[in-house]
Amino acid sequence: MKNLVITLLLIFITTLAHAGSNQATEANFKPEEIALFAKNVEKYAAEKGASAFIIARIGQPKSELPKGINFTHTAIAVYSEITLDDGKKVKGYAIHNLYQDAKNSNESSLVTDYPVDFFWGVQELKAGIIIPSPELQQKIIEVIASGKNKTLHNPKYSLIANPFNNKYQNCTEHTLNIINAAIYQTTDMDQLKANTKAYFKPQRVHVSRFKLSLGSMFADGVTTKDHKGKVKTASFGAIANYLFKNDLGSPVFIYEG
Amino acid sequence: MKTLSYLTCIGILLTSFSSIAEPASEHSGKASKHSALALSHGVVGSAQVASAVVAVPLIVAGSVALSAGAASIEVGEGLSKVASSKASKVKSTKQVKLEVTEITITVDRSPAEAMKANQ
Repeated sequence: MKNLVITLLLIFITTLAHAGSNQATEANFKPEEIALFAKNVEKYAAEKGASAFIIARIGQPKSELPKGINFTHTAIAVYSEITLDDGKKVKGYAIHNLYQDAKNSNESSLVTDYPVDFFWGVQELKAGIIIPSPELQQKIIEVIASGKNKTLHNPKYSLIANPFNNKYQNCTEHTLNIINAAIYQTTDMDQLKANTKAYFKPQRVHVSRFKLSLGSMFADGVTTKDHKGKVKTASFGAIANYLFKNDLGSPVFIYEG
Repeated sequence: MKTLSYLTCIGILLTSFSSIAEPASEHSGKASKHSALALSHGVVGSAQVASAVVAVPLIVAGSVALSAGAASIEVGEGLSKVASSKASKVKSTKQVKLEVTEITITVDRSPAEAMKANQ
């Protein structure tokens, strides 16, 4: 009996350790497959003339994702002049992410990486792409180039962060903050959250409140402290609907390798 | 036995969280990623792999790509005409096909690997 309890406790700890920080350093596809896929995503966006676009990936088996969640990570790709380590300057996309910290699941950092890094640990060679209107693209780039995106970052991480307040933040909420800062030309968080509450429809998290409460008790990087009532969070699909409804973005395009 | 049932229930319930978890970033794996990419490119004989040092956002105005800093004057003029409390349009740009390098770019190597490469 005692052994069983210890075994179960170990299982819990393992479960929790994976809950908020699966390692993206483990590839599920051959490096050349990932590199080709990532380059093709870049070329697709470039052919569309996208200076900035919303990009999403599937980092977990899709069959295990809760209803309504189709992608596990969202960020913003920006057409850039990239200086390589040999000094050569080339053009391509840099991706501006909020990543959960590997060592502290309750915190996040802003990290710039590149398409092959972004797709390195994916479960499927599939990319979600939303191309904002040209005007909004310019404004998004302004927010990022000016460093205002950093003032929109709250490092307190929750996987199911409520986008209607700034108590916690996840990758998708941070992306939404940048989009709204670009739209409304402000970094005033109170104003941004008031506007989000008025116009943005978040994704309901179809996991029972009981499970979520247990999760917040036992798992790092998950809390319901910022929620009242039904738990809702920002998702790639919700951002797509928001932009499309306001004539500010293309419908979602799924690029498959 | 009650404890066992309780713990079993919690264990099953908590597995839900692994499904919406998102990978974290860790620098330790970057060196091996870079090596794996370099090796794969060497084998297939395709484009090279390179580490990025810095990326400067570009704004495309007409058929010319400008750094975001250089283009900010033009954007700034447009923005000065709009109210800050609502979404408004600024001068639109034509859709042009953008140039993308064939080089596979990855984040820079780990500090340890970068030091080795510089020696």
